[in-house]
Amino acid sequence: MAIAPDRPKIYEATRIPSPIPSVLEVPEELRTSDDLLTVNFGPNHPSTHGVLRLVVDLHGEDVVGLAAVIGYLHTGFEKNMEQKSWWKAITYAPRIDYLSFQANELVFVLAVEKLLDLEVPSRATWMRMLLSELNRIHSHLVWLATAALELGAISMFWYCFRERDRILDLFELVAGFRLHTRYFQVGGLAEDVPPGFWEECAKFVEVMPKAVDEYEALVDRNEIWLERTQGIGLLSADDAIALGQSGPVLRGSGVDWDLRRAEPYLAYDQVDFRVPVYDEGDVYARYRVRMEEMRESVKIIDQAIRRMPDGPWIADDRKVVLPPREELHTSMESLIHHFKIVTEGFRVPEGEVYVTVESPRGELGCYVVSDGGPKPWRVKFRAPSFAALEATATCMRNALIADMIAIVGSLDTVMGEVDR
Amino acid sequence: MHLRDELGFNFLSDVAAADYLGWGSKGVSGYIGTARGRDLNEPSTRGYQRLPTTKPRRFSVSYHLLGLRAGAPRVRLQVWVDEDEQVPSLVSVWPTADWHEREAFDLMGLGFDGHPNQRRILMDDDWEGHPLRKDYPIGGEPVRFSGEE
Repeated sequence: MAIAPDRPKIYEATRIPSPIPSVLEVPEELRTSDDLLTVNFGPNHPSTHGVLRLVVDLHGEDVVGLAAVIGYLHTGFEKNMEQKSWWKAITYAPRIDYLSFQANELVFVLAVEKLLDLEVPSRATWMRMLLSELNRIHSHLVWLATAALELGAISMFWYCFRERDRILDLFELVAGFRLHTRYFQVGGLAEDVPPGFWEECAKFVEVMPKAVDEYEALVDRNEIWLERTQGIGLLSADDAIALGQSGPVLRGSGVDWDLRRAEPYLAYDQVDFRVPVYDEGDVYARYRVRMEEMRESVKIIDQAIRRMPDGPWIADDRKVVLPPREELHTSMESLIHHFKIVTEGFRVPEGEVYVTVESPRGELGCYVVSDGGPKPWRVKFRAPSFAALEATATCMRNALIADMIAIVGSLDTVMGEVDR
Repeated sequence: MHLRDELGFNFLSDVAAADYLGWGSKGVSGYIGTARGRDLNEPSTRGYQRLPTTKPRRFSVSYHLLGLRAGAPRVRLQVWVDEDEQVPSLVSVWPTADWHEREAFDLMGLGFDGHPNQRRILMDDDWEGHPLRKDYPIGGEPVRFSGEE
């Protein structure tokens, strides 16, 4: 299918069930029925991927009404970031989506760099891309592990977490932390890549495709898995666009759209990869998209290792970037710059930007307003999971209660990102 | 509607509201200076030479639109409102605006005219105030310790 069907009235044909797009309303004839049962699903349910609450109206086993209630994990990240200097605010970004932390970190750093009009060295750009792809695999692995677990495939969990741990080891090697690495700095990276990383990463590239083969052998043609995912949670391409879906959900509905290719950032225009698209628009299609994305990510990582440029890993702008440690003993200017950046923070010119990256969950946007001071005036994240949850009602038409688990799982929401 | 059907911006990616209360005044967002420029009591280092450009109203709502086609054109549509004004709702045009507008209502206190389900979304239904406004106190809720009771 071509990118974005060029039909003028795509929203007329939409099958979004009610005037309130995110709510599935109980049909008129069932409202007075005695068999109608309203169930609170969550917020503390292991299959809700965090603290999502779904108010479900059941008629027998059929889901006839649904409303998602969110906000249980609202921690005010955006408000907090307004109170911190630009430098400190980066630390908040990865905590928003705790499975694709580096995508969040990246989008905020890219937004600040765009405001500063700062040139980033190519080594940092390539390294950012490599880590983003590792992070994508990590996020998809956790998704696959938990989604399969919810549908009863417990062994999948152990297989996926085996590889996930290898990725976390790599993160630890490069940044010192396993999660929330905060390795991306305005201007580049926090430190150079440590020796030994390339060998470990190359080993991982060797192992990962075989691991994906293993996962596919476990579930790809598994009768139960097919039965529970195929033809479930249907979302048409038009609906997906109208509901602001992005990432694997959009590509699983047959829209060939990936920001890495559509508006290339970092060095994505220099590497060779394929964007998997499936037309079916069901849970199985989204599963297939994610599986193939893992393979493609491995390819990108492999190319990044081979073609990693040498050179500095952070820009040489003393107004923004900390001077090298050894200069502090000999250079007065370096000491002043260091002191100014640490105490006051650097200043970012007045302006507003909206920057997007393709996170594992889709279009992750960051809207930043600066008034010229050392703190952000306003930070707003466009969370792909937030939009994905809006589609639950549309996906849930004609679903059974058991399908609900598969559908919510397939949208791959991270509640930290939804509630922020 | 024009943007969606004729110019092809079929994807609403974000609705971002911002509060400009105190924009460019002393002590807000780290700005230390006076309306005319630098503060004599904060010589040479702190404060900006220039004040940020003034904004027409207190709140802005930015709609970030994207056309899903080659070239990925993006456009930002900005609406400026004051505290008691309503913004027209876009739910009937871009259904995804539903939650985005509820979020702006909840956290920024902006009313959306014609929104089918305007309720709080992230905060509790009985919450008072709108946390992302600049005049909302920082420091959280007062904690009542059991020993005092």
